[in-house]
Amino acid sequence: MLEIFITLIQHMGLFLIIAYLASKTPIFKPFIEQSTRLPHKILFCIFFSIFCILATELGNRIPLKDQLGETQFISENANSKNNNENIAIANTRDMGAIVGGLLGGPIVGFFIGLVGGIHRYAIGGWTAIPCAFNTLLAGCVAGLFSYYLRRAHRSDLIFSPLVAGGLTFCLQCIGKLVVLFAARPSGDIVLFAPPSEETINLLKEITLPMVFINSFGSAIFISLIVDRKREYDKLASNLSSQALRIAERSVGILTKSMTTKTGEMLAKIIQEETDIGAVVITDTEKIIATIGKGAEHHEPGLKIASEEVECAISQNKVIFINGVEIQYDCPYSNDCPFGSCLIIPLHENQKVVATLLLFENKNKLFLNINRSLGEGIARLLSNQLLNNRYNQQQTLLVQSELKLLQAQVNPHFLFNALNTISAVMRKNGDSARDLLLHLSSFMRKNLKRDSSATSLSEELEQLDSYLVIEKARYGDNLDIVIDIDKSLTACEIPSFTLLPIVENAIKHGTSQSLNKGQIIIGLFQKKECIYLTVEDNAGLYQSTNDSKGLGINIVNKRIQNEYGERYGVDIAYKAKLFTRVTITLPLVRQEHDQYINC
Amino acid sequence: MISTLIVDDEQSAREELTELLKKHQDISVVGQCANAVDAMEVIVKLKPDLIFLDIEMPRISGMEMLAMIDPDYAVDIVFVTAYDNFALEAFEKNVADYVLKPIEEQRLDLCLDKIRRHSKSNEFSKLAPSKLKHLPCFSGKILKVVAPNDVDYVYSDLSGIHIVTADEVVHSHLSLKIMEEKTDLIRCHRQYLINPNSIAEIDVFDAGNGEITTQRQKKVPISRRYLRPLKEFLGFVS
Repeated sequence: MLEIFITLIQHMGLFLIIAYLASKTPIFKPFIEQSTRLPHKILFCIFFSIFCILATELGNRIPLKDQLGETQFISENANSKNNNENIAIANTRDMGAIVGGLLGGPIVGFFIGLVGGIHRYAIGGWTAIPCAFNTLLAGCVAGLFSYYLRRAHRSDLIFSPLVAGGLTFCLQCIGKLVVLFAARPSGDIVLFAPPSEETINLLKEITLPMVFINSFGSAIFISLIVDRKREYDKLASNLSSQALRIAERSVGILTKSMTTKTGEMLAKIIQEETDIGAVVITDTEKIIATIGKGAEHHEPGLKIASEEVECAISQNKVIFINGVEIQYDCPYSNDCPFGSCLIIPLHENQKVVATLLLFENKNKLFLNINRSLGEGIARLLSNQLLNNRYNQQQTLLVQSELKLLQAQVNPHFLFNALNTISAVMRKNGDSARDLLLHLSSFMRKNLKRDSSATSLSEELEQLDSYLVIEKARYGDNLDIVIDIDKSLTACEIPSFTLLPIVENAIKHGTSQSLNKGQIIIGLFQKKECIYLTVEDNAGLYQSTNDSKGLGINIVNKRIQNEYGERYGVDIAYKAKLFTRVTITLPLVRQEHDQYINC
Repeated sequence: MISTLIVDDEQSAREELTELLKKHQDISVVGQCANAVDAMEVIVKLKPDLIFLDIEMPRISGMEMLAMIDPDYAVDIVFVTAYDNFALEAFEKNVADYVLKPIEEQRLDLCLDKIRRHSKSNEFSKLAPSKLKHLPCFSGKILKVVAPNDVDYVYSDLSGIHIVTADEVVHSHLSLKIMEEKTDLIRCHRQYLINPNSIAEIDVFDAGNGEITTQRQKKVPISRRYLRPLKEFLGFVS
């Protein structure tokens, strides 16, 4: 029995060494993946079938013993077939069927079991049929078990050495029982007859070694796979965490366009994270930034001189100089320490705007990981550049819309105001002077405006100047009521929000009314929102008229751009009675003003 | 003396112009109006020789008001505007004069000189739109603007011109002639204009005259003279 033990351990060791070596090659990759595709399954079938056949062939052939325990000597001249008739084989075949079934599923398990079984049967011997059957059974059961685990979403258990060992143990025990009750030295199959003496003798010898070695072997095989899997995962997670770190650190750097400063920051981040020799960033003409020891001669500002970089820019493709077949030939200095280089174009809207150059020293190999990482970073940066461009255009759009709003107002308002003032001057110099001051204050604030937010109090101040002038213009024909919650005046509001609405109310509302006009301006808070209302009593709003709605549309768009769809401008109106415009804004108090209030 | 009417929706602008005109002995300001409806009333009543007309006015612009002035009535019009490129271009091509707000004294003097030298003309009517979009009306002291499409029929009697719409009867200073020319209303009687869209039935009498029943069951007479053109318009005559 000890002899069998040792032989089996040797076999197991041999198989595990083969498996270990295989695990170092790409062939092994399917083994560590949980999803098994058809090519993988075919690979499993072939691999484990060979395993089974080898295990049987290498197996410890045990001659039949008679009742006395004496070995029946085989006659010298007996042919090999007869030779085999009296033997049983202690082997590690089932291990292959079980591991294969577990990894590949029921069909793979069945196939491996079948191949292993047929092969075993073909060898012959008095235990051939039960043993072949056992292998088939082991493959099928392991396959079904694996299928069951997958269905139960416990596929992690497939890769548990304990489960594999336990399963093998059970299947081996069942197999030995089958042999016990079915095998006859004559080679016949007699079911459910009391076991023969020879069988018991045989099982005494082989049961223990086979059950334990097979169970142990399966467990080790699976744990080998698990280890490889962990290693792969770790590598992948390392790579992705590195990429993520770069992504995280570089976010926001490119919010402005690529300049020497932003380029330098980026290059620094990439160099630190990848630990690569040097990182150089160029635009389409010259070097923008250089980071890395020995790379100083790639001075920012120098014109691009390398053919490869020019090629990468003009053809928009990644160029890799591996440093083995082709050496990087530095155009700037003969003492350049770098041998390999990866040139990645960065594009914005498919147009190359910059390149990222990763250098590695002559005595170092350019890691493949860094290569794929570099390409990933380039994609990330390109996206950032695109996003940046989009943002710039968005800002431009907002600014130009704002200018449009301002331009719409100014000429009419200015001429009317001057006209009013010149008329008032004749009657009352002081009030004319007052009006002029209001006008100048209004104009100054108008000039100062940009697209940023302002405080409500500031907006109201300007509105006040505006209303004083309009009131002087329309006299008794215009009545203005202001109903404002004073505690809210520190709130933030996008600049140029309220004024266009009030202007609209006067221009298209009260000034078009044949009777006396009234405008009510309200400000109140409800929950986390503030509401600004501008109501006129003309009720002349026409939703179909686009040009009149332009100002309101722009205000609405700007608010929604800034704060989201929940906010914006609503219009309620009843013909000939009123038009009410409501601006809804989030309650944002300006910190600066709060500080002053304290 | 040149009787002058100032039409401007801003009180200060009216006062300013009145003040400037005081220096000219031959100008007498007979009225100031804040909108086209009031202005039409004064024009009909006082028939001024000269009108200073603002272009930007509530509901009915100065341009549209031009179309409402009886073409037989000769008057000088000076447009007053603060800022309107479009209008300025129109003026350059035509005889009608204009001054810009705030009004310069020299420019006003020049303008008045021109008016004194030339006889009154109706050239400005070239500027006027050919169709009216609004009819200036009043009801008591309330001023109203009625769209021509909303009119059922219009009639005149000794007290003036009356416009009948779906829900009210209002009055206007526009003549039937102007309304006939510049809207889609058609003449059915010397004293009546009818909106063809509001005709429900036409009764033709033996005497050669007839009567219209409107969609709202109002009766409008048709005189003999207008029966045939009306029937032709509606497609009844072969």
